[in-house]
Amino acid sequence: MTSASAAPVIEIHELSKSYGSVRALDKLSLTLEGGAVGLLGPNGAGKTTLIKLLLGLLVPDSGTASIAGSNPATAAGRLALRRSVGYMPESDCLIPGMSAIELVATLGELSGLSREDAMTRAHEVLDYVGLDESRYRDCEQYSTGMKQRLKLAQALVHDPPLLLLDEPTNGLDPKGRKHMLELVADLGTAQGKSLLVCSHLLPDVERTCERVVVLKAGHAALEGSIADLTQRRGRRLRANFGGALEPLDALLAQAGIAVESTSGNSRVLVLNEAEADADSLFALCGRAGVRIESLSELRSSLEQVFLEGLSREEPA
Amino acid sequence: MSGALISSQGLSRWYGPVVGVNDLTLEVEGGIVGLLGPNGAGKSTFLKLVAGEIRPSRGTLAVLGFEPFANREYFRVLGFCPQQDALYEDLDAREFVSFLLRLSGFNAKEARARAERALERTGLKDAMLRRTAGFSKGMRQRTKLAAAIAHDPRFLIVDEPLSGLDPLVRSEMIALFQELGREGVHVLISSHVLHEIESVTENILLLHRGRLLAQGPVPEIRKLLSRYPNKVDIRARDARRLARALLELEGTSSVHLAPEGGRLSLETFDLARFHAELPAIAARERAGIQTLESTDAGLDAVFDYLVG
Amino acid sequence: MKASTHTEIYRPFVGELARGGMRWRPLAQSTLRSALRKKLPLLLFAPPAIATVIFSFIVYAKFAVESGSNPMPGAQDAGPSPIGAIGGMAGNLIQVREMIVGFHMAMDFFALLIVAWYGSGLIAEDVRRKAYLLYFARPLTRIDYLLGKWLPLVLLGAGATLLPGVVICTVAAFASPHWSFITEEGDTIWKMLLYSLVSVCVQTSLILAVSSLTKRKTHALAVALGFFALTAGLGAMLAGMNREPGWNMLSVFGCLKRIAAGLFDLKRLGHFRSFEWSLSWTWIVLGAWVVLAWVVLFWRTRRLEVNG
Repeated sequence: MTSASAAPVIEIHELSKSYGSVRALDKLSLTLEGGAVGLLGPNGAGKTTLIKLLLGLLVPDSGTASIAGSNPATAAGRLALRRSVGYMPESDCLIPGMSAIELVATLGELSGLSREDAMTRAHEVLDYVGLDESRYRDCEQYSTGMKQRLKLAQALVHDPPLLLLDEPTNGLDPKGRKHMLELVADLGTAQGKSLLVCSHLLPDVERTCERVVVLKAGHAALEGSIADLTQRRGRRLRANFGGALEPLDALLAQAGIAVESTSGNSRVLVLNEAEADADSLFALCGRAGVRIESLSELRSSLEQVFLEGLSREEPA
Repeated sequence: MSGALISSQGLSRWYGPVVGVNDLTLEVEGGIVGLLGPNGAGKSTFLKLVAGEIRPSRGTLAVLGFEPFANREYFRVLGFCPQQDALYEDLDAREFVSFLLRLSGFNAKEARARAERALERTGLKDAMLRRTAGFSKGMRQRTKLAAAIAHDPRFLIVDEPLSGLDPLVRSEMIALFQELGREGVHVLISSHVLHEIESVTENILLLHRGRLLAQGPVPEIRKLLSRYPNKVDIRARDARRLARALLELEGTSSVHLAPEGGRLSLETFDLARFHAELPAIAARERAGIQTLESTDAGLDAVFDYLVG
Repeated sequence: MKASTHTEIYRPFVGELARGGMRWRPLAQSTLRSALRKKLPLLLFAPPAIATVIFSFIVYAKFAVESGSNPMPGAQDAGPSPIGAIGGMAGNLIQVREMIVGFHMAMDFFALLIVAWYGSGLIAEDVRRKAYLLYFARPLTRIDYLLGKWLPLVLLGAGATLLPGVVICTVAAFASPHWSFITEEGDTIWKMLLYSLVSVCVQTSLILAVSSLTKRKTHALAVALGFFALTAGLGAMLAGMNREPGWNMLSVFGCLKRIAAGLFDLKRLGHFRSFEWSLSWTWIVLGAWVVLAWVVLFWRTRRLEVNG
């Protein structure tokens, strides 16, 4: 699939927007090159304003932005960028009195597709999201899962390079959530789309995005790739043991393996640099008759990253 | 039998031809319990039955020894935080919660004190004097929650309590539930977000098509699902060599090597033997094991296996 | 033969997205389609349709009987005298003109019903179901959105006034001897078209504005009809009380009738005994209503764009 093109899909520099006395966005700078980026942040941190700006519905007070190659400072630019952006809103929304296929086709036409193209695309995207026979039924009667998929379909109908997904798994049951996350992950990887995923559910973000931006009070408090931010620090492992644990701590001490913390039958171990793997640990446990039930690299969770990002002091 | 939180026998409820719950016979000891199930599984019907909002069509139901339906005694010890948003927009949060407390019989002074305490617990200390009309979704959730705990109930039922909350507030509310659990309050949490239920409790009730599909701690349920072999993921330098050795292990049903190398996935019907023998195998093969993880022991996998 | 599989469900779109042009067109078409989907409300068109047929027939008969052709065979009279015939013809045409105008006044009421029924939900339901979130993510300006809603409504309203008018005029033109309807009363045709257009534009603008101010079709319908009724009643009452006919300008229908009277030179119309108030002021008042309606529409649409 095509790699990220030369120009970033979103390039925002020192963007500000105020409503009266409320500073919704405060010199926000953001670059989105390709792939999926998760947008996190407390409620009221400016996420809605940012989305409206990315859709060209608001004029920024100051700063520059280039969204899918268009400049939202001009009216023509604002209109043009909507051809390259697909929006999946968080709220329950649909056009009354229509079936799914009509809704998607009409919205496709409004995005600039011809009637025939819109019809074909509508069928294709409805296939992609998995709405089969029900596409001919009035969408007022859809279940939550179907409505969410419909919202995704209408965002995709004009094949935009940039997708804004606002809480894509809102209200979905576990099966629906899984299916939706698969679709979103697929869009970001195999289909080569640039995604901005807004979600409060950090595991969802981890599943679908490579990078995150944490918004706080209108600016980006934290930004980076998830892999880097949750990087393991040093050779630390979390091990869950089973069996008779009494001799364990003594053994570990004997073998020179440092134990950083203890919780029930779980230990955080620090292996020294010379150890490339945990074979010796296994050998040790084998001799002592202790089972190792799981062993994983200790990475900070995205939740910790998020909390840290929020509590960090702003630079002067 | 007595002392159980929820106890039901042949509990059924239907709405015309539509079945809400069908012949539920269960006993829940108490503590924090997660209620799960796909859409249409009967979760909301069950919640309404347990909260005393509707009456069973058939069968018996006892909660904390009470028969829930329209039972004033029971309502005094029950706290219910429903999914729907139903606040009086003109009141500020403190007034709203005090008002509900006064309806329950508390006098004005005590109602206000309790309201303030409850709102502080749910993190609305600074916002409690603002009108709820201006509240964000998360703040409305927390107001509802405060209203449900303000009268110090013995049993708290919450339906999708964390929706609309950002991760910061989410973790605070999860901590609150854990705290309530430690204080001896029984909590029944209904949610679609499996990893959140997992972070609060191990005990679940899984409903599907109106029937009880599983109940109990998740690891125990997993053990009962013996027809599904246990899946284990191992990262090792020489995955292929390790794979060969593991294939010879009794109970292994399959080993799958990742195409990029350095990783293997194993399925075994005898997890205990696997854990017991692995150290010896590791020592012998020296394949450079780096991580080891059971991938289908969690709630996600269990849900998948049962609901499919 | 070379083997190939095409299993991708998602294919990129390899076409061009149209730029500029009539962006409102797809919206107008889909609005019209949705409006006409329900068959029952089409009954609203029945009275105008039936009235059109009846009136056409009457008009035709009027011309046919008086044009000199004596339908009774073996009549004693040789026929009316030429001058009498011409005088009769002139009188006929005037009568037909009055009939057409009268017909329009009556149809105004049905036009209002049709425009109110189809129009009150156009924006209100979009607000209720949050469809604007989907619309405004498209390259659609406020004007495009409003045209897409307004033009279909104008078309539907025109179906009740303009179209019947055209039909009757056509019948009159064909039925009148030597196309005298066109030569002598040709004015009537464009005046009727003008009046219908004004009437439809005013009604549709006001109703659409009401729709944008409410959140439900039923509310908008009630408010819209109420508005027309209230202004009419108030205008008539104040005019009667103060013996000052200018008060009739409060009523939208009063204004429309005044314009009709001015256009067609009528002394009385319906229950209006006289039209003593200023024609130019009437145009100004109507113009003000339309401008107000469109200011409201633009304002509300902007609100939806930004705050929705």
